[in-house]
Amino acid sequence: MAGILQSLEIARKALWASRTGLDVTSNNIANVNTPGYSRQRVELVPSTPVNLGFGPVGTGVLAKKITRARISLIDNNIREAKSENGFHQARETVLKQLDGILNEPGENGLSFIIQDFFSEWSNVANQPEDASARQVLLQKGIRLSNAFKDTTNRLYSMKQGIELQLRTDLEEVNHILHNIADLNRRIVSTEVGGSQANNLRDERDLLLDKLSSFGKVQAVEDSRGSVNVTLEGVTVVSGTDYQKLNYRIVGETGEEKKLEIYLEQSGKSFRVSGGKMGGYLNQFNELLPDLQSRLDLMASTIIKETNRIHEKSYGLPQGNPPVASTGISFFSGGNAATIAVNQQIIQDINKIAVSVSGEPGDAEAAYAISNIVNQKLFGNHTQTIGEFYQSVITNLGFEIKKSESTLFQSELVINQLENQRDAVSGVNLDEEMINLTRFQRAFEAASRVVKTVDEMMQTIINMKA
Amino acid sequence: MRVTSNSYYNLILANINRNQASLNETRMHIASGKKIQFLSDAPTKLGSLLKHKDLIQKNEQYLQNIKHVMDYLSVVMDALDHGASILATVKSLTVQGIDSLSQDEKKSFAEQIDNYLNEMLDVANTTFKGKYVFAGTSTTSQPFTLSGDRNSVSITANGIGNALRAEIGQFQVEKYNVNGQEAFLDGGNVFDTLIQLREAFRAGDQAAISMGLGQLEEEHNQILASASRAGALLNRLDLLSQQYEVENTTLQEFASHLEDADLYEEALNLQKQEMGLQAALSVAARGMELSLLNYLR
Repeated sequence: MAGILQSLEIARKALWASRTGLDVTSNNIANVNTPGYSRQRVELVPSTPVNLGFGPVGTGVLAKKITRARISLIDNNIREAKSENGFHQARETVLKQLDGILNEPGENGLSFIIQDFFSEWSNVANQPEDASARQVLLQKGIRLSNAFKDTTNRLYSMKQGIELQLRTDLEEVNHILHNIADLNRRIVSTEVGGSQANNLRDERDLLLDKLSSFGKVQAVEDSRGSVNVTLEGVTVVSGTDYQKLNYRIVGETGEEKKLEIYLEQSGKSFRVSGGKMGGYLNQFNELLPDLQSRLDLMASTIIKETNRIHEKSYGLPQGNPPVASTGISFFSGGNAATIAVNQQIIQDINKIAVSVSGEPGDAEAAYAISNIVNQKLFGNHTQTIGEFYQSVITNLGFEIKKSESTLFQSELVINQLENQRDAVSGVNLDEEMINLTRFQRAFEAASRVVKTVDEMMQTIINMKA
Repeated sequence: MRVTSNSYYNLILANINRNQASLNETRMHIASGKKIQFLSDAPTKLGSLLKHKDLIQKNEQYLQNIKHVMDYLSVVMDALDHGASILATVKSLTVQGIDSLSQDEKKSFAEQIDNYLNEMLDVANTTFKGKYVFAGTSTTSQPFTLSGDRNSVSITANGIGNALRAEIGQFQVEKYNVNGQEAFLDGGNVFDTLIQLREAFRAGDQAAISMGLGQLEEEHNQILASASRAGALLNRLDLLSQQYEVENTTLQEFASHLEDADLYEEALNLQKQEMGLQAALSVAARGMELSLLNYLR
């Protein structure tokens, strides 16, 4: 039979195990709101029994290890959902801005302004000799040009905004990659001794979650506990090394400028299709240039068609003997960025040519110009300019709506998955309160054992032989 | 399934957010009176809304054009009516003068006719907003001038231009002016007739006076015919403009139906959503009270 001190030793171990349990529980409670924290559990095992002649006698309890509750399968699903969510978030942000810029439907929108401009020619036709009607037409021409230019400028500054956003995003991505590589090193060196790097792993998982909102991420853990990360299929973290990312603008002069992302070390570019970065690239490289080219087509058609009639018509005869100007174009410029009312017309509204014959009351040219809106000049002669623009913005409306609902859906999916993950890893305060009580009671009982053993020792010491 | 503190709070938060978002949207609809404020609000309705607005805008322009033409035509009709009444007066003078008048009286008739010649000239040179209405497209130069010896009226160098036309509908450009040539010169020259009559009275030439009377009759009819052509067009345009107005009212109703918020419906929505939010809030408050902590003392 072991000595009485063995009983005291068992009680000590029990006190220590209960205290460890209490610490782990209070740590869980403290981290209830910490993002990425996985709840921890202490694994208690009985310590090796001593075999006495009549059988093994237990030697108490051991806190073997502290584990975190985590299922990595859900992590992968969450990362996929986050990358999709990031993509639509970026898209929605840009599209919503567009919605604000285009001012449709309303009297400040391009579709109203175009119609209004061509209508005004009809007003001039009613009184071609009247300076006030010509003045109004001039103002509406300027308004039309400005509307095209403003929209173009805003699209341009949106692109600049996207570029800026991408730069900030890449800084964050590089920072994350750096930290993941660093955590790989620390996790491997911690776990090589057999202990668990619970907090470091939580931190790394959280970083991978964050990274996946920027692009499609795959993380594979090797046997030593370090993860290799690919972003859009390109290896960006391998063990303790990581690849720094950067962006550049490519495209010859005159060509559409495109954004691309490349590895700083090798200079190799790669396609990013998911996450926020994928969303921004998609808007910068595809949606905005596409919209711009449609605006350009509209502006150039308006310029070409108006000028074609205007140049062969006559202005209001001036001077003595009266001479009517001809051969003057109404618009200068060639696309949505350069469209403007011809300077000669701004200086002299009598040069607005509405007369085919040269006579002051003749307004045949004005009718021809006001009729441009009724001609099917777009979409292979199937659409008028109004119909063309309407189809452009209606499509945009659908895109925005689609983005909104996809975003909503993907948020639901993420919520659902995060709930699943939380079901395993999350902290439930009521549960922790119960654990707290559980360990408290165990501690109380163990102290009672100490007291009892102490009394027994007193008894022995005080025995009088 | 384990439900953790965080997933509970997240759920509550997501529900409250969603309720507040839809509540906010309804509030915006009510405050602005519009259902469609942005492209994304109702892309399916956007296309037809824009099309309706486009049509309304076009019709309004046609209405404006028609109004201009109608103003012009009423000036023309006034002028032609006045011309016709001049000729009627001259006719009755002539009938009086054919017989039983002394040479002196005939001379005074000749003077009166000379005055009417001036008035007729004014009629033929009528202006509307500073433009000569009978001059076709040569609106800025006076079409008719009386020679210095007052013996002939000629069309000035720029004379009478081409027809005036107005856009009164899509692909519908209509000629609307009354040409001075047709009204006053073709089928008998009004001015020549008046001059000849004046001369006949001066000379006391009985035969010439009665010939002039017949001529006058023809001219009178010719001017009345021009006036009635203008009147017919005026009537037609009046009908057309009423048609456009009716069409626009209908279109505006359509557009309003698509675009404007139905306050009754929105108010109901508001109430429904407020109830939803209240429910979410009360569930949140009740859930948050439940904790083991309340019972561990």
